Amino acid sequence: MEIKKDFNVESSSDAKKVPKRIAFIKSRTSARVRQEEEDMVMTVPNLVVREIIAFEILVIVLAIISLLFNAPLEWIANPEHTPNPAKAPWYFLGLQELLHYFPPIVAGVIFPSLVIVALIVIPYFSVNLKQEGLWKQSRQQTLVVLLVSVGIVSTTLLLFSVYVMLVPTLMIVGLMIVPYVSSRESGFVGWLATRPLSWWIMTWFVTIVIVLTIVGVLFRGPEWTWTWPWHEIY
Amino acid sequence: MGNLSKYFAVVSVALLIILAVSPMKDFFREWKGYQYAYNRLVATLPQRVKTAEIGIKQIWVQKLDRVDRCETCHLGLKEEALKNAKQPFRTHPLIHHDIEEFGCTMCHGGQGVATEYKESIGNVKFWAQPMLPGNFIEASCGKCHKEQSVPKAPVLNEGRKLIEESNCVGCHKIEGYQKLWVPPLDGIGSKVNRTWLVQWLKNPKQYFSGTRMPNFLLNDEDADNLADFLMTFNTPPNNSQLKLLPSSLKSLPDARKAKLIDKGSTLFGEARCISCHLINGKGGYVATDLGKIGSKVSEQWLYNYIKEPKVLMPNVQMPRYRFTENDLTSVVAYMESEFVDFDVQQLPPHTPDPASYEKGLALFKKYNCGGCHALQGISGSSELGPDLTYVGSKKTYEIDFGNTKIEQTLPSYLRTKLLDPRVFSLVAKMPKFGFSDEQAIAVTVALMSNTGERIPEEYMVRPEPASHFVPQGQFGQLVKDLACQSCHVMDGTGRLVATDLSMEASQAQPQWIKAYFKVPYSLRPILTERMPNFFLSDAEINVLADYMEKVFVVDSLDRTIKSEPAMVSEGKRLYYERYGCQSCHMIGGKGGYVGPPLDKAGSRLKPGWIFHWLKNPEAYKPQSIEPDNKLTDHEADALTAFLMTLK
Amino acid sequence: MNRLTEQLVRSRVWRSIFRHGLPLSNRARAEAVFYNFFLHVHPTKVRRRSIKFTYTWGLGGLSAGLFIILTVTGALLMLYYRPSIHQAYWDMKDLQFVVSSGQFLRNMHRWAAHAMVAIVFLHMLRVFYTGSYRPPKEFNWVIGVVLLVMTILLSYTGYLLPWDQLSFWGISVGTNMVRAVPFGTGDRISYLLLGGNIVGENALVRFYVLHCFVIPVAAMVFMGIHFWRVRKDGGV
Repeated sequence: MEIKKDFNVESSSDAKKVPKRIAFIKSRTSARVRQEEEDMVMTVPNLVVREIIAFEILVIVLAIISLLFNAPLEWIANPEHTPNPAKAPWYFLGLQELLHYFPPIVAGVIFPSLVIVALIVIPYFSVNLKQEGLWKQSRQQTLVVLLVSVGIVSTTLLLFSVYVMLVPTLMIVGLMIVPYVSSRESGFVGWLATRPLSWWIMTWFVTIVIVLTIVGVLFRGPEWTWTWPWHEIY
Repeated sequence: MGNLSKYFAVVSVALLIILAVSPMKDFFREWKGYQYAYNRLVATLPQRVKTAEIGIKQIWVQKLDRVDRCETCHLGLKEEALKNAKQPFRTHPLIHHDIEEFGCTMCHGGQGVATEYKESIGNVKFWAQPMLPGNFIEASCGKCHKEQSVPKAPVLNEGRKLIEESNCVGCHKIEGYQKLWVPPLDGIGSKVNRTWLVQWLKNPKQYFSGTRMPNFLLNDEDADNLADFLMTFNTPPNNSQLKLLPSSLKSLPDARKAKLIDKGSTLFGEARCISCHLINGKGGYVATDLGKIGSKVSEQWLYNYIKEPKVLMPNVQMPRYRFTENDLTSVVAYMESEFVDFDVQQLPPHTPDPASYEKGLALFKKYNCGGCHALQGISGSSELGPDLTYVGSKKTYEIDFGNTKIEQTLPSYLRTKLLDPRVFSLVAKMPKFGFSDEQAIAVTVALMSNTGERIPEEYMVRPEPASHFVPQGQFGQLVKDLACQSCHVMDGTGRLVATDLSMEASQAQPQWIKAYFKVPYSLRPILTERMPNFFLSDAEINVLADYMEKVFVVDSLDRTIKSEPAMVSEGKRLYYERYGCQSCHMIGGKGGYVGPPLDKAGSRLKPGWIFHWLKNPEAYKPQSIEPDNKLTDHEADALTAFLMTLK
Repeated sequence: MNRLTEQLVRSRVWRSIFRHGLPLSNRARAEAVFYNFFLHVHPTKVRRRSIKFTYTWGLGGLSAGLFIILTVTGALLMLYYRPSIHQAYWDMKDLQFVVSSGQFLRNMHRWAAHAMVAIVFLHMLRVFYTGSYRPPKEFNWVIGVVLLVMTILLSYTGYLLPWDQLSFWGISVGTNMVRAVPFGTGDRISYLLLGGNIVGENALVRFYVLHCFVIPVAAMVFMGIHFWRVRKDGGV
């Protein structure tokens, strides 16, 4: 089925006009500029003072933390004694957690490369510039595609028993389906309904990153087994 | 805008305050408090003691690669006036080493770079080697002092002796220790009886409390299997055969047997077996206890062993006595009848487990019996236990304390391990040596002196290079046969139980030496070790005496003394009046007991030796209590002339 | 007092340094931005909407602020630190026990570094959720991703420098991950990074140079571009 466009996309190609602006003009209505001029304020002092305040607060907070908590310094490096577990810095613990499930080539090379490439190409996917909600069009088709892709991802995760990824994934998917089931247009559900696909993917990615990192930092003990933080092993 | 400036003002003030507080933390550091306290204390003293300049003080010992800041708080280390002050200001006790040259942590351990009390003690999570407790401090002496006997370090010396005697190197790699001889097990099946063996395996110290064999804490089944396994080895080494006794003791009529035993008793005394052996805890300490030997070994084995010890036990340090067949039989008869364990309980009849050989062999290997005992090529490994070469450098985080609640430090771990070897892990195989707590501390100290620290050679005190003297020829044969070196030292080799023979011929006259071999007697009645009578032939005695006369001589000790009457009488005067020698030495039944009697000194000693000995006794025997009277040559000559008249 | 200030502002020296008067009139305020090297990255006027705190949460600015704090504390730390496996750890101990406020300096650097990783990441999320990566800002998003990677690399290279167990094994685990790159390339990258097959003296020197010179300079260049683009695309 062909979707009939009810607008045209025009973009200015005049090099002198920076920034480039895009206008969505629906054929039904005439073009109308709502706001002629935005409310402008002087940079000095409005912005600069705010910046200075922010920086000062930053220094104050860091200084207080530094007075209260010492930076860690463990035993001198000993190449002959591997601590158990040997942990990378916290921002890599998500990856290290993956390494526990997948072969090193997948967890250590393919995943991070994919993430970086994906992040880089985000702005070049000019689909859905209007930021339409996921369920705005062809609900049935969207559901099928969604279920199939979730099925594939979940099976893979199940196969490698990566429950720490499976559980948040299913929770996100649950939230995605809510607007499909319920047709309320206000409140939380309504808000969910307006979220576009890219928003869902990013949210899923961030959730996974946060969950994996937290698990890696707090819940992994000797031999990378599950440990509760209050056992103070780390 | 108005609000913004207010925020700006408040936040800026807060920033200034916090930036002022940060250095304040530095201002109130712990060590400054100690330094002010020191200066206050010093001001109250009657003596003038320099006050401390406020600031961090440190000793930098570049050669030992350490910076020690202990002096920042320990300000009175060199101030005599603070001998009774409270820590951290007390004077350091006098030691041989200069603090500036060695630093503090070289001996005490701990974290020298720290300037906070807790951190410097090192009992913090991320410091792997906290300060040594006082009773372990001699471990640090041993880091540099590798010599035989370290001065002023009795615990360290005791520990090293225990490590050597316990043959720790049978299972562990430890530098600086030699493997000691341990009886081989070949032929054990024809030597001992099974009852004895099972009980021995379960608890060796029950049979002989002084044994070096540790307790492997075997259960009944393991002890049975290991005993059954060992009993299958009944062929003596090198496939030699046990010879039969000339007459079987059991079939002898009682009267004749009693006569034999009577004779054996005399010979046993004459041969002075108890110079080396114990009888139920009394006697020498060189060899094993014979008190219950009759319940341990068969009479046939005993007969063959005394006849030719080295055939049944290669390299054993047991002399071969020249007994006649008849004498030998009587000695065996005496021992078998006299030295019996009357409390022994015979084990019930036992059918060996068909798999006992395999099970026993597995146990033999598991507990590394071969690490100490030789048995038909089943070799043990000296690296079965952990490598202890650098055990003193072990970090606390490398130690598995199991479920024990002991202090989490290396000395406490080692001490506990030595007292109760299996306490940290049930799969541990280390046997129990039955150390007392003092012994465990001593061994811990000696072990901890083996560190991986790189110490410059100029700090090290190495043991004297070992002598490789092995007597050769006929004399060498006899020395081996008679195991002379298990008690005597010759040119640096041998065990020093009796005298050092290296310059014997410069000391004693040859006729006396020959006579002594015939009927040895101890020079000093107070000593327990006594020279045994080996019942040597004249030809053998000549070989020994001739060799000694030619080899065990020190030319510089030679001196001719004129025995003029005037000299003799002057010597006599010096002996009795000037130096009062009779207070320790006896002549003609009169005098003291401390030194050897001098009755026949003139027919025993050579004059050159008497002269040099009197001049400087310590040069020849460092431990001797003979006083150095700083005699002139003339006085020494006169005394020698007098003593040489005592024939 | 006011006259004194006025005299000061009118003096030749003042005018040679600041080419504008006190920012009291709108003209002077505009000039303050216009004639100031540090402020000229900003436009003279900004939209009220874009300086609303809850719109950006100030995350980009905080990242830049953290970078400044890290540069200052880092430079001071460099005075006390020697990148050698025999000295590095003991220099840490000296910072802790001897250097005045040394521990404070190190704490600031350490916590600011961790904060920067987190805040740069949050900044990326903010940009995504407000859709600020859309044309014409596509390339600035890419530069932002590069800066995120650089921030992580900065933190990671600095992680080795104290030369304690945490550093050593943290870096070992990380470089072992690199080895998983197939066809022997991983081994080569790891060799290049460590200057050998294990984490040792060479690795320490390399990480030191990367941490104190190469990555910060590169990051500064990219930050320059990043800020400039923000401005050109109608931001602050």
